[in-house]
Amino acid sequence: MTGFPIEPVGSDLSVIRVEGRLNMVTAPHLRDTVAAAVKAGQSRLVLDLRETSFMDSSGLGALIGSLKATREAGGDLRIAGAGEQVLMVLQLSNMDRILKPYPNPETAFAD
Amino acid sequence: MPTEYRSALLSPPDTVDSAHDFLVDVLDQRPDVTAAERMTIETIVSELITNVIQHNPDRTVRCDLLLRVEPDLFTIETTDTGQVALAESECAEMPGETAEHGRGLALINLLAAVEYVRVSDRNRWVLSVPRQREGGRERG
Repeated sequence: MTGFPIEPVGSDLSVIRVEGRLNMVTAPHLRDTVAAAVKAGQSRLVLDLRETSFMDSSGLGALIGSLKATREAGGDLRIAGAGEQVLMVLQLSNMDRILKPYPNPETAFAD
Repeated sequence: MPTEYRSALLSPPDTVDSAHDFLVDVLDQRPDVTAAERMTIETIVSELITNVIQHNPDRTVRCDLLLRVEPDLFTIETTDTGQVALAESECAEMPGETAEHGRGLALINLLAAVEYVRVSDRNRWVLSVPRQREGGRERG
């Protein structure tokens, strides 16, 4: 696998579906997927984490890098559908303040 | 049920997924391990093995992994042939919010009691996680 599936939603928003483990093996794939999206002009992104079975600090680093990449391009990145283990890592690292978890992709940019 | 489960990794070609797959196989055989305990163990092991691999990018490293499951305690031990690891006390603090690296050992320290020693030419980590109790009663 070299990237995660990305699906445009409307004219300026895309959803990236992060499946499986997000660790040092797959974190570079997420970074690459986000970088390609931003390069293509898609800088408002939702990471759909409903199928993410596990995330460690390498995965968290990729989330932070992706957030920075979108914001530097004038957009934003939000996360949705995180499971208990992902939420645990976000909370332990206090990154849930920066990466606020939304219940599902549909509401992540509702505000 | 067994008390101890062992695996050995050689990286490369093994990755952190090899250790994670081993854990999944073990924990699938342990219905007494709660979902919360499982999350903790998987996170600790992933961070530990990642740390070993990342700190030895230009060499093959062997890492022996032991998970001990006791009624009151989980113990995770790794012994690796990598270069000298940083003492846990040097990495116990979470980095700044925008940092993209450096949270692994800080996370481990939040989840377990950590001992690190350099024995001969090996790094040895011993992590202890007290088990949760239900209704104040021991399990197992």
